[in-house]
Parts: sequence; C-alpha cells; structure tokens
Amino acid sequence: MALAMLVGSTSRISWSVFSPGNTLAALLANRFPEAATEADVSVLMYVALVLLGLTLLVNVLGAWIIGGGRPQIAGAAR
Amino acid sequence: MNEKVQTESLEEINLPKLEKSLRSTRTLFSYFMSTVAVTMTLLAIVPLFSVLFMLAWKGGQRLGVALFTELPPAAGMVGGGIGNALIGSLLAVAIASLISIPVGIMAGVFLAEIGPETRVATGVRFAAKMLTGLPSILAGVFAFTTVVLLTGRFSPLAGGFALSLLMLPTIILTSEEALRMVPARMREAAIGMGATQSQVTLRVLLPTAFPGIMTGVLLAISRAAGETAPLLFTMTFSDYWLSRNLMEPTASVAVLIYNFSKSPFENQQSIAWAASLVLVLIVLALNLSGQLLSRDPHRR
Repeated sequence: MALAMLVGSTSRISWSVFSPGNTLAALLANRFPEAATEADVSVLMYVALVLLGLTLLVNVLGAWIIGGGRPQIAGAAR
Repeated sequence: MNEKVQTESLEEINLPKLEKSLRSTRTLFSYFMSTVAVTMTLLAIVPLFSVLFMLAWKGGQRLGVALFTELPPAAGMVGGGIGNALIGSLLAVAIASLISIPVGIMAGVFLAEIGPETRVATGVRFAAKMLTGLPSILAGVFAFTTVVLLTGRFSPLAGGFALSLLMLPTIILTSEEALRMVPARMREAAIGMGATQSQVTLRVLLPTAFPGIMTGVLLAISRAAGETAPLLFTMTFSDYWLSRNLMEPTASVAVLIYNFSKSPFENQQSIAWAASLVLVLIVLALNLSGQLLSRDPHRR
C-alpha cells in the first residue's frame, strides 16, 4: 500500500531503478476502484491470483526451511 | 590422542599469548564488529522516532476538538476534521473483531486442547501461518468478490470482513500459544477434580490464558486499524456521517489519509498529516497495552 503511493504506477517496463515502475499490489490498489467492466475485474483477479501464488510460494519455501524439509510441515502443503 | 594433546599443551603453554591484547587482529575485529552491531541496532529504531517526530511536526498543529468532530473538508474549503472517518474505522474494526475473535479463539482452543496432533490441526496451523503473510490487498479482493458482489454495494460489512481475514491468523496462533503456556499441573488438577473437558477449558484454561489471548487480539486490532488496502474497494469513502443504513460506502481514517495525501489542496494535506498522527498514536497505544498485558503480573 505504501508502495502504491511511491512506485509511480506506469505500465512501461524500465530497467532503471529511478524511473517509475509498478508492483502487483500497487496495480490492484490503483486500478480496482476504477474497474468498470467485467473484463477489467477479471484481469485484476488474474493479477491477484499471480500475487497470491507468489506469496504462497515464498511462504511454503520459508516453512520448508524452518522445518528442515521434514515431512510434517512440508507435507501440510499437499 | 587426547592425552597427547594435553601433555603437549601443558608443556608449551604460553601465558602472554592467552592474554587479550588490543593489538591482536582478532580482538580488533571483534571490537569492530561489536561497534557495527550496536550502530545497526540504533539505526533500526531511528525510523519509529523519525516518523513520530515528522507526524507531530506536520500534523500536530491541527490536533484539536474540530479535528474529531467535523466532516472532512471538500476541495478548497478551510477547516474540517476526520470525525466520520474515525467512526467508520471504529465500526469496521468492531465488525472485524466480532467475526475474527470468536472464530480465532475457538480455533486456538482446538489447536491447543482438542486435537493438537490431528491432521486438521496441522493443516489449520499451516494455513494460519500462510494467512499471516497474505498481502492485505488480496483480503480486499476476496471481500470484494464475496461480500460486495453478493450484496451489490460497498459497506462497512465488506470492509470489516476483509479486515477480519487479516486479524484471524494472529488471533488463532497467539491463542494457541497462550493456551499451551498454561501449566500442565493446572489442567491435571482440574481433570483430577472430575471436571469435563468443557469445564477445564472454560473455567481453568481460558481465564489463565486470558492475558496472552488479549495480547494477540490487541495486536490484531492494531494491525487492522491501520490497513488501507482492504478498505479501498470494500468500504470506499464517504464525505458524510455514517448513515443509519449500514450498507452504504463509509469513510475510514486509513482511506482518508490515502486520498487526502494525494490532494493538491493544502488544507486536505494537513488533515491527512493530522489523521496520520491520530492513527499512529492509536496503534501505538494498542500495541503498548498489548505488551503490558503480556507481561507476567506475578514477576518482580
């Protein structure tokens, strides 16, 4: 959320860290309130799905590292 | 082999070499690293005080009765306050607490008491840990698709539902932890007296674990109170007081700060600063009382 106010929300990709960029969460925060059509909403839902997938991946990885890869924690992800 | 090492070291013991010398590289390195660690620790507390100072500086002069009793100013107007936003935030957090506290504590009881080793418990524990890392905007998206699309309007109910998703994991995990901290002999004594499981839980475990559970609840509330992202498209914003019909878009402090900080009008910007100061103070007070509660009263 704090990022959404600073990141610049542009739809161009630039390799410079000093030019405006965008993040998944900032994209959702800026576009969702203005989503008018069914297509807008479904695009943003897809963005949300990607973001959820990424965070879950990182979280599962973290849990796996803490559990030392033991089955009782890693196995819960089945 | 051990003996050999021992005799050798006894013969060749070099006392001056054992003394700590400031000139030796490893002592110097140790001091250097200690200094670095202390500096980094001090740097880590700078942001909190820096933010507090900046908010007091920029928002302090707007603190007053008007800030708490008046409606937010429209573009170009003078004066105004955050009265409706404070009430809206309070309402959303209250709805979120009503949903998440009973569910969270009951889940904690299950995880700690009823089936700690079951597959359900492992799964729920894992899910709760995953949920703590859920980006708050996704809670908003979820509440939008469920409550807003279902009821057809933005409302404090949808906002409260989104916030409850963020509060739930904290409450589940801290109540489980608090219940586990209850000494086993208290549980055994109660069972020995012939108490049933519900009596043990209600009369012995929950009262004993109460401070720990309250700490989790307060931490969860303080997190929810400051969240903007889940409210942005579930509660949206309103320039008016809460209507008697609760199914209307409602203002909240967090969204007010978000909207007004982007405003080109100086009056709205200064309201945003003052609102940030109020919000930070509320969150800080909640956090501090949570810490006080978790402190053991019998110590000292």
